[in-house]
Amino acid sequence: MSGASDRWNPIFLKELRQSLRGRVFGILFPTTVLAGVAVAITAMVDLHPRPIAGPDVLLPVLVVLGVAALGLVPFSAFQSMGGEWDDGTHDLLVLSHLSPGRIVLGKLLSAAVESVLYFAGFAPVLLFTFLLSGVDLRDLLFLIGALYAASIAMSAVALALAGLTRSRFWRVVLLAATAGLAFLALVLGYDLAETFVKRGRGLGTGHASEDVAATIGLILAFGTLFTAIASTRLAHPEDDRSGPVRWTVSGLLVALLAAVTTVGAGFMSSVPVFEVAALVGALAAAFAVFFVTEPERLPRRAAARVPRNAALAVLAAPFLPGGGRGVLWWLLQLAILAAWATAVAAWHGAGRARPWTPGTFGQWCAFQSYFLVYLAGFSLALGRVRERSYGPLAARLILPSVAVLSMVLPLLAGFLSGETNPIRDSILFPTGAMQREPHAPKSLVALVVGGVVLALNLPRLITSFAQVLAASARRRRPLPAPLERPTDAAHAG
Amino acid sequence: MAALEVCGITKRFGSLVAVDQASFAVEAGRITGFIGPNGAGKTTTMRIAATLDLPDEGDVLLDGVSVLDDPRGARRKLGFMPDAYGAYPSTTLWEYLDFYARAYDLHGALRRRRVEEVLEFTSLSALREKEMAVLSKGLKQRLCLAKTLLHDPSVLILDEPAAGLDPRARVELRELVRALAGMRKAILVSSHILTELAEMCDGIAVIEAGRIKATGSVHDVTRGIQTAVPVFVRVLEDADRLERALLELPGVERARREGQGLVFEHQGSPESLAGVLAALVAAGLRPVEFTPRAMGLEEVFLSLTEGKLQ
Repeated sequence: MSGASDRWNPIFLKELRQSLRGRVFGILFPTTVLAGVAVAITAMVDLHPRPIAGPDVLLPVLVVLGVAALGLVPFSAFQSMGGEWDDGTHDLLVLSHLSPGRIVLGKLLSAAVESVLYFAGFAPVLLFTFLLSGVDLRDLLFLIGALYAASIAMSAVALALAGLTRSRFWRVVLLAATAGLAFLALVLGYDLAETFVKRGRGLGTGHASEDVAATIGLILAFGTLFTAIASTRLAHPEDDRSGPVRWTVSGLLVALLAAVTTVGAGFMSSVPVFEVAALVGALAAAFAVFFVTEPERLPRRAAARVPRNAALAVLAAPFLPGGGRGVLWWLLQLAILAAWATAVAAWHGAGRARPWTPGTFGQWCAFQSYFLVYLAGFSLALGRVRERSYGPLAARLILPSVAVLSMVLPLLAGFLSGETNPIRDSILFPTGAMQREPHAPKSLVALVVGGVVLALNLPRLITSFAQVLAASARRRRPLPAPLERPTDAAHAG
Repeated sequence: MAALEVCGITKRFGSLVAVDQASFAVEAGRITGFIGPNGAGKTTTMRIAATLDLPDEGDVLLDGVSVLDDPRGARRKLGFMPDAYGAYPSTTLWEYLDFYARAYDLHGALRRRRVEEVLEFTSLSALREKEMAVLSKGLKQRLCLAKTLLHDPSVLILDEPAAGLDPRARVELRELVRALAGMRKAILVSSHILTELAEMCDGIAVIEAGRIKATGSVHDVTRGIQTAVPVFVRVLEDADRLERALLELPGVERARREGQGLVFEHQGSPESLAGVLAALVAAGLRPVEFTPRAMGLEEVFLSLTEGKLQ
């Protein structure tokens, strides 16, 4: 074993050994499999003597397997990462030659194997449900595959959340959040399974392509994004801990747009381009909260990897760490969205009910101004806070809180003052109603405020580029800048 | 070039300056004791040197590699033994070391040989199949040291390695650290047990309230702060006569009775002190004890620090 496993991921080997020797797995595995068998038998007894019982037995069995795959396996991954903090082994791991990516990959592989064991334990029951008839083999295999992939994606989520903090209190909170996400995934998974095996919209019916695409897309998106987050959390603070996440989110947003345009062509013909662009813009803004709240400084290791070519360095700037470059990243996503919307509108032509015209483009910009105020405006105002060690976290809590309060308070004031339509009359920037009931004066106000915020951010954006160009210029020099050396090895201070 | 160079590092936690422009160096083959009261900034400095924390200013070089510019390169040079180290449950000593050897990219026969070597060096070979959970504190410290040595680092940073150890375990650890210095490794070791450090270290760095108060060899630092050396002398003759004779000699200050002898303070070179002994003999006194008392590390520490708390 030692020789055969010589090049295997050490974390994978350690985790697997610990999991299989651990009492938790030793108790939970047989209990879960027994629960699956019990549920199948109970369903069978209840259904007797229906001729097509497969779907009615499969669904409860999948729920039990789902609890194991989406709950127990990610919980084990969460505990594994949290244990590295609690047992004091985190520092020792980080100091070894293992890269953060290898550490996360090792833990994910271990979760994948643990999940395989659960699926193997359930295999006879799942086969039994197929033999009961009424379940299409393709649907069954797809559901099993999707659940397995979701299990790994949830484990990635668990690893990322467990790696966020050393504090036990916050980790309990994050564990609850993981459990909440797992529950949501279970509900969505159940709905998908029911759609496939009971509502007659399975793979063989030709109606499942959007469901399949959405399922695969969601699982891949969560898995990729949280694997990137988990890896960057383990990286050295002077390394680029933001760039991989920025690239991943950009890639996912582009993939989302591509999927909406191709697989979701039917959906696109009924929904205005404006609304899709607005929703994806809002999604990008949600991610941008994390990027615009970073300290402005370019970390040294990230600076050491800036492209030597100045033009390439400028192009790479939105994907390098730093709050100002976070604003650039968000503006870049908006540019991509605007280009996509223009292309889609041109493709669909004038037959569309709500084409992408200069008017709707202006309204879309006004809508994005709303986010600009919070992302660029408030992050600029919190500049001094962001530079402190607790700053980014504080800013990440303050920004969404202010955004929510600014919507809730006028709404409340509107209700208290007896307004008939508080949303329309009290919120400075109209949002959902803007498309159907354009309020030109308010859109104009939004654009002006957005423009002012952007102007105030100009020095910050220029500094962001300047830092990148300076780093690029340093890389072109033959020798690194000299370091300060101690003046005297033996001195009294 | 020193193997470990701490170059003007500063670390702030909010308004608290935990480390303030700290600079010192540790040469290869030397053991430097890092001394300071609780909260002085020892662990913060060590964690920065170990690439685990970031300084607000300054840098640390490990064999010339900056911990900021190339943390991964610096980690290849470094063996860090934290004050609180981790153990994995249900893991034997061999498995623990084998795991870390893999994590340090050691493969095949080299990995197995290296694990055997560190087990042997730390005298843990007989316990290789024992689970870590059953080990005593001293054995766990030795195991942690073994893990630290797996990739043969040139710089060792040991944070309170002797804390909580019984006297025998402390002696064994001290011997191991000395042996490592004999292998040309630069070692920075912090401890509250100053007598322990005094027997182990070639040099010291004293830190208080985040500031380095003194660095250098124990002898240099002692000489820097000790203006007069106390010397105990006992003669077969009357102590009053001894006192009169002593106070007439150059370089001798203040004399006081202690037991059957006298303690006088001498300022000057070792030659001058030898001259005092010769003058006493020439004056017809017959010394049976003549012992210069160098300052211990505790006295050095107390005279350099003011008990400031942060």
